[in-house]
Amino acid sequence: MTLYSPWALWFLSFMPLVVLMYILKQKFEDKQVSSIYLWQQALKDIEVNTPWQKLKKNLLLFLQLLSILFLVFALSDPYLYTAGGMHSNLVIVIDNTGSMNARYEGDTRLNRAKGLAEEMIERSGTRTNITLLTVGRSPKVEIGKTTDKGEAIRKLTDIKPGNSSGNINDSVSLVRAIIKQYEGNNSYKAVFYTDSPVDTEGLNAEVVSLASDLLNASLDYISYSDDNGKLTVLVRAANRSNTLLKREISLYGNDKVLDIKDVEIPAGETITVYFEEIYTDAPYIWAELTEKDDLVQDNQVYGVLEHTKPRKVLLVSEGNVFLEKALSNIEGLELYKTNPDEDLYEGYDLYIFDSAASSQLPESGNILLINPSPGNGIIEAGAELEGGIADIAAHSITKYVENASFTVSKLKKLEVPFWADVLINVGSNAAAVSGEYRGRKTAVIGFDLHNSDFPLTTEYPIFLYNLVSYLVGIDTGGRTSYVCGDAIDLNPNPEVSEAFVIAPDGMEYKLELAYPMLPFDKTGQFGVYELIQRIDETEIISRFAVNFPAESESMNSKPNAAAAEVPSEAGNSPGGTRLREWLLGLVLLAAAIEWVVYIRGY
Amino acid sequence: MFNLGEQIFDAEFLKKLDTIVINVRMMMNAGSGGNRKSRSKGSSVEFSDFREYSLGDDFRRIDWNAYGRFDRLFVKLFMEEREATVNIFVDSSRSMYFGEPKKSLSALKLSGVMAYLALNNLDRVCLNSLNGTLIKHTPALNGRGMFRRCVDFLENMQFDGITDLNTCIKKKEFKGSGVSVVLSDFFTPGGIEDAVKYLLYKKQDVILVHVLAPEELNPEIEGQIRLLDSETGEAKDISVTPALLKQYDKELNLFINKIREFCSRVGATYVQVSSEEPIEKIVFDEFAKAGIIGK
Repeated sequence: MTLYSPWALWFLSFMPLVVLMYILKQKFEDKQVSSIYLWQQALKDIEVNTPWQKLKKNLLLFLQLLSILFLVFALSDPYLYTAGGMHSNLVIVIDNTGSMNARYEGDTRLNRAKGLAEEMIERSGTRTNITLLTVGRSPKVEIGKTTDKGEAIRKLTDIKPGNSSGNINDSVSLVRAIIKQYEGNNSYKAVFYTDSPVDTEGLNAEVVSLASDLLNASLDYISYSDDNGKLTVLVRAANRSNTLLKREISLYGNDKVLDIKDVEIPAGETITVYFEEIYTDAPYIWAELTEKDDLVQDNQVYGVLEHTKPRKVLLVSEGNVFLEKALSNIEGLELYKTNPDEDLYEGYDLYIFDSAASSQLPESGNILLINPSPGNGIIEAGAELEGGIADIAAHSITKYVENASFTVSKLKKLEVPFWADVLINVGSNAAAVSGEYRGRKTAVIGFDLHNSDFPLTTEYPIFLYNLVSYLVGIDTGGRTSYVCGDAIDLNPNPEVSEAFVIAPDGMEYKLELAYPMLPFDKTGQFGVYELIQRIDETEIISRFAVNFPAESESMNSKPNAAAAEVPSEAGNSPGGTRLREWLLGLVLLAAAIEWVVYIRGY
Repeated sequence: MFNLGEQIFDAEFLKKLDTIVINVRMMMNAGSGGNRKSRSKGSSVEFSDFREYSLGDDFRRIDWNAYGRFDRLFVKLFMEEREATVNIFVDSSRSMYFGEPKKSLSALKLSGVMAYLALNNLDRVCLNSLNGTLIKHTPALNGRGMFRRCVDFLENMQFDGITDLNTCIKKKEFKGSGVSVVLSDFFTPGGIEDAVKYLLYKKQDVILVHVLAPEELNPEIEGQIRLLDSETGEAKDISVTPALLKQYDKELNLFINKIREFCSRVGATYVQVSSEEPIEKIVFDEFAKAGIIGK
């Protein structure tokens, strides 16, 4: 037999208290008798005159002590292993999402879960197959079907606290699949240690709920706007508890304090705090709640500042107002114009050839050809064709442009090269393509913009923005903010010889430069990650921030799983019995007997 | 202090007394008294027996007819009618002033009955109140007219303190044989044995009337009780359990039987009465059964 909550045995210390109370509080009703002579004689025979032995005769006291004993044992939740043994298969599921880092009875929920699971493993039979699962962003089998308790416990202790969000219910189907193989002998038990409700219907499962009320505030979001180097930083702070919290929010640039603000957050509400007129050249900013609370992981939020240097673009054109207008709207571009017959200067990020035949291509830099002439050295452009209604192909560049409706009167016949994706079709012909050719991002628009009503549509500037952003590498859709556990698609430059990520704790993760790139998923820590790309001798450093998933994991108490806490009535509870109910029954019985005794006055 | 403060001996009681007297044929056949036949042989008109003449006998009592027949001298023996004293000892300790009804009430009524019977029988009556180590008594009263004084004495008796029966009774002077009646609950230090032996030594016919209250015979208590001794003030904490009550019952029987056995051994008469029994019942049942009175 083992006790699930041996701490409850401390309540046994009440027993001497009751005895003491009996000794001290024996209330005697005064009664005068003619002589106590006979009583003395009578007492002499049946008891010795010490309080201890007097108590021996006190049935009520005994019953009360018995009740306490039963009650304390009920609290300590004993588990009796019946003969014939234990569950031969034990599946332990440990919730390892961010919220499990919350404080729980002086420890964290996760550590408590690990402790309980360890006890569970130690209690299991020697031939029990133990399967250990953790649920972070997704369920993961830590160890499968082992009878080696030591190994299982080692794996268990090795579980690191995770910061990701996740749903414990995702593991249920996995558990179902695992136990399916045990169906034959029907002897399994699944134990979930979590702070979230679990739907274990139909499983012989036990849910150990570690949910608790937290005193917690979180920083959910950080953002900024840049006005010529003057930053306005916005921080959203939420109070996840039931009382008003007073907090101090510090804003840092790298490790330098930029500003501090005191805030009051009403219970359950989210407030937005603005830090104005911040000047910093730090690569990233972060905000922190100075006070520690029950969940410290969500007390920081990180954001990366994008100090982009302007991209130089050379437009080789005889004059195209549609292009010039659209390009001048794109921030971060320095636009230079030149005539087709002038010499090309090197050193631009992007060269745009608008209906201009370039005899020589620049040595480096990306290229956009509009209405290409034959023999351009990039794409085979044939004779001019009759146009038609344009059809937008699905591509990241044509994002938000899908609904564009325009016609093209004339276009060049383009042979779509192997490296290119089609962006726009007119009839059966490709009208715009893009791709990487010899390490340069290259795009071709097969028609003169004057031969189309495209520039008149609302989608035109978007398309051009997308296209130019792609070509000059302005990270348009590129996020710099993620939450823990996210798998991040990193796209290193094609030229890099080496790329690695430095995690906030200084760990370096080398990236495999193979196609397709595997997403980077070592995002268990929150903080700012650095992506370092080496091209020959130069290093390109970019950063992204990974934050604690406060939205999903800082919830104070998720709807409790009280109903699920009782092991489901699978009807097959081989192995052991929890004695709590029985003991509570005994407590009631003792109380009933006590009542009878009291009434009858034995 | 603790006297009954009431008219115990009212008209109704006196009427009862008369009924008792009419019904009682002979009182105290075991003992003394005036208007009764003494076991002692002596000069009287009532013939009792013959015995051979011995030196010093009054030769006026020689039966000459017998001498004529047997040629030997016989002396006629006659019943001696002697006035004897009936001593009634009432234990007037605090414990007697107890019970529902009070034991003292029973004791006083019984004393009254016995005094009345004795006076009616032309015996001398001496009432004694025993308290502490002191004995307080009336002079020997004689004649029915003296019953009033008996009543006064009994009605004014104080019940307080502890009574050491042995010491008290040993202080009593006796002139010749008689009857001694002791009414008490016998909850007394040192028991009663010495007193009884003393009385027997003083040629007394001893009658012990053991008066107990119904609460003592059949205690109806429960729970946690602090018993307070009415005499000593001593306290005793008890938790009343059926076992304890059983044990008490055993002790009570032991206590009564000890006295009863002692009495039968030394030839004293023992009657145990409950204070809730009516006086008539005590007199006609208990006393008659014990042979104190005859109907």
